[in-house]
Amino acid sequence: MTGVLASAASDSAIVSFSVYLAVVFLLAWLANRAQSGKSFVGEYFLGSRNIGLWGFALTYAATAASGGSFMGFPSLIYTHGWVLAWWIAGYCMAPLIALGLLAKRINQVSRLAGAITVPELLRKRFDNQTVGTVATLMLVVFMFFFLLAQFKAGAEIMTVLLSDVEFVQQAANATEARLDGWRWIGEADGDFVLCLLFFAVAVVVYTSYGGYLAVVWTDVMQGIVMLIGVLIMLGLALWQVGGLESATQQLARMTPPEFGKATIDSPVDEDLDLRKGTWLQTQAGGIARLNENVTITEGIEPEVEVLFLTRDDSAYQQLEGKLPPHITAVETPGSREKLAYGSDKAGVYVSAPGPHKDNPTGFLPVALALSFFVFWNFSGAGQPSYMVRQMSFRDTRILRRSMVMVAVFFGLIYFPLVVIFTSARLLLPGMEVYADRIMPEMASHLTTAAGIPWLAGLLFAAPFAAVMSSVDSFLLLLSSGIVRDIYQQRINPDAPDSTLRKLSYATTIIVGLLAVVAMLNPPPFLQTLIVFASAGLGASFLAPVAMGLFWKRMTGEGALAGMFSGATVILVLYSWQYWQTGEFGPYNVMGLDPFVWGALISAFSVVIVSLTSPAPPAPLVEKYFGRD
Amino acid sequence: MTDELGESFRQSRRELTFQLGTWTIFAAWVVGYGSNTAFEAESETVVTTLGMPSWIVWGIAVPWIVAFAITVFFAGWFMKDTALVDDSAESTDAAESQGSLQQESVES
Repeated sequence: MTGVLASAASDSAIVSFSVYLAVVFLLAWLANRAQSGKSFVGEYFLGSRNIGLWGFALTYAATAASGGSFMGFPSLIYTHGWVLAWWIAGYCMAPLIALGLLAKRINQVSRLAGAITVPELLRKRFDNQTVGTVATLMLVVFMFFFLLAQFKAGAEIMTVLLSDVEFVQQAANATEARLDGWRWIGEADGDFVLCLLFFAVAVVVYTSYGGYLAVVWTDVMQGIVMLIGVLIMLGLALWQVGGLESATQQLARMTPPEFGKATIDSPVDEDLDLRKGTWLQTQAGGIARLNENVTITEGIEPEVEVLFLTRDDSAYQQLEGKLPPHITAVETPGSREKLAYGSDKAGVYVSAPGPHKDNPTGFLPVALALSFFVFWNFSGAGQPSYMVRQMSFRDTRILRRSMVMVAVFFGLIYFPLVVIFTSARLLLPGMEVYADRIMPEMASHLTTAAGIPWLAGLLFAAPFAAVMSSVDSFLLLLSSGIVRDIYQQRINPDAPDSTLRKLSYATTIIVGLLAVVAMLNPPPFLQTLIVFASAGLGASFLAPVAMGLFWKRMTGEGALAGMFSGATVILVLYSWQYWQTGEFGPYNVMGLDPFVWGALISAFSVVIVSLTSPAPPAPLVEKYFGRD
Repeated sequence: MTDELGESFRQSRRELTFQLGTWTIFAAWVVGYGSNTAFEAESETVVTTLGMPSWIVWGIAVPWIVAFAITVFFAGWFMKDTALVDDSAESTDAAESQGSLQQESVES
């Protein structure tokens, strides 16, 4: 699929990957059996608040390490270099802040309230129906965006895994032909569509069938798979680049490749199809990579979009003798797109701010580095998917031990990922044309080059596990918001378990279908979508929930103001950026990420509106805070 | 019960102060060190420590290790166990939940 450097996974890799999937389904079946005979909603959505150490720590960590961590993050490391270690550095505090800041109080207050969802917690804490309804709506909207990014990531992994399977390719070609000409989805690759459907069916089935317990059990298994996968990749990557020192020095010499236009010169008499990702010799003696599919017919020299490698020493060595003979790319003069920061700069991959296509101040200027140090911790603390987990641990001993366990997990995942994917630039040059596929391509490359292709199955399973463990949690969160917070609380409080069960299954399936339809024409950068949804959820929920847990004077009106203002800031700043540039992304006021502004304005709104609205009744305050 | 809850709340507030204070120190270290050293290298050679760019080691890897030690201290010694209220008596069933809500509204 992607050319001469990365071979696709072998049959044995597919077998080991299938074994992993089979275990996931087995766990879902066991979880479903374990729930039989218990109250449906409490067990299905929260595991009866009886989750132990491994379950709590790993379901939290695995949910946090989502498709963003295993697909989007590697793509960013590959594109911008070592500066991504600075970008992710906030995770060193995540166990203490994102996990530890609210966990004890959330668990305590949710037990006092008898709440099993975040909107329900807010509704009962403030004794205000409107707060619960608004919280549910915000959760559903932002969580859906989060879900979209995960579906895309899952489909991308499957696409690489199955790229060499003949019947899949035949089916993909047939699908592509059938979709051709359709609005919205006509542009989608056939193999991506098939893999998206497969992924959606797999994850929707096991989540809806097994509920929260299945999600926790599979998260434990998936967390272990992720950890083992990353550590194996780290060892293989360091071995194949000749050690970290060698890799860093080679990286320091490299300058970023540049997109541009070229005409394809070929003496062949017959039609020739060249796939996106094909490597070509340039007329000037350089190397370029096709960024689109092209058909060459006699007498016509099509102009195509290509990626020109610049001073990529390792790429030249690897590609020597492997380029298609007799076909050359003739660069169109003046067509090269110079980067706004980093073009022709040696050292740009080992220093800050890192290269950037559009931003003249680079990828990570200081203000943005500070933003992300805030973002990963406080946006993490404000994510409803984590809050739900914090409601479910059995006792505070489990919380304390889990913090240490999560710290070990994050340390062994995130920092090694930076090492692995800065090395990837040396092993797999030109992956800018498939930026979001670098993780599975690297897994395939490392194991094939090491002569152990069966291991690719496990390495593919690591990012797949990350995606699945997040998707299942988000699906369940959406399902609980609709079933528990809307249907059961507002429409039919006396609904029997059997009705709630059917409705939960149906909701999960419908949400999955909607995500599939939306992702048939996916946006290019996964990470942007994830950061948008995280920022929206964090800015809407962090201040209202955190202050609600720690500030006695806070009122329901204050919570509403906090949610509305936080969400509005995020929507306005992302819309402004789109309006200004035509690209979906954050508009950074004074260099700070929208989340920082959203969270600050949300907190400010909570304080002002709470102080100007009537004080909460004393019994309500005493119920959740005790006596002074 | 409410006295215990009050003490537990005050302990949670002390822990919150520790967590926010620690975060502030680390934000200053990581962002401050990086802003002073990470922007210097723009050449074909890079100063390394343990094979990594040196600014990564002193500005990110070392803080990460120290942060781990502080997390262990916080979880092992600073954070106190709290008896979480057993909500087994409180039904998560919708009907009862809705009933108790209506009762609360009547009382208030």
